[in-house]
Amino acid sequence: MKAPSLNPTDMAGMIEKSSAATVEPVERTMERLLEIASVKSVYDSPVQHGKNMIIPAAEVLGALGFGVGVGVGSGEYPDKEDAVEEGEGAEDEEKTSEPSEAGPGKKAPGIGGGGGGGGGGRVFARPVAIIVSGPDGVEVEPVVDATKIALAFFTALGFMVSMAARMRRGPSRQE
Amino acid sequence: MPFITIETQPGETIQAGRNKITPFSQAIKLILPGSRGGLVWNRPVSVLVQGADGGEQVLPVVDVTRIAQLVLFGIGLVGGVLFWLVKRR
Repeated sequence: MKAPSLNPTDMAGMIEKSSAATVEPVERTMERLLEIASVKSVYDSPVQHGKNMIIPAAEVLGALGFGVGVGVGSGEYPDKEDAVEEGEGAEDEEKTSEPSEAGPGKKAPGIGGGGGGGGGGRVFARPVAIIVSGPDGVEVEPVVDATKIALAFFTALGFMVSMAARMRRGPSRQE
Repeated sequence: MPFITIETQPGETIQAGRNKITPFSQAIKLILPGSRGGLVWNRPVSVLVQGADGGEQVLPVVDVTRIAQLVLFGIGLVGGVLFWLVKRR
């Protein structure tokens, strides 16, 4: 039997084809992530409200991560004749009745490859301020997120209370 | 492409009555080697206001929520350390 050989040109072609298929969507998504860095993603279009013009401003945070892998290999696999003998059915038996090059009970050389990838990401946006332009001039009005501040307050309070409680009962446990 | 980039960029100038407003944003880009992912944080920093008389004024965009959050976390941390120091004595 002839030993399985992998032509380097074929292998490079296979890797290139698999890489292109998996990397292309990744690159496209990366480009979209980098679009977040533009000024347009932070400042929205101005809105006319009476005599005032309002420009909303927001903070945008986007994160993405990917992983791709490509593999190509060569090896031996059981010949068709063997597969029939192992019970593939009578219909297949007729099709594979002719002896193959490798012969019955022999293994044939083969080349295979594949690739895959995965990833995830998220984009957060939060209003920060509004720019108001009126007859009196231009003002920047902050947008206060009371929920976030309340959460931060209770987190800080909880940390201090738990720290105080731990300090109070700490020595008694050690004794 | 560098691993981390920080850039402040101006947006399009908007005509608002007699004033011209140019917004500025600051983007922090963190790109993993091999373009395997990254992080982009973009926030408004200031607006440049040009009046009809030619006067210019820079108004900072202050993130009150972020400042309040940081102050509260700082108070929590300092409070915790103070409890620990008082108890140690």
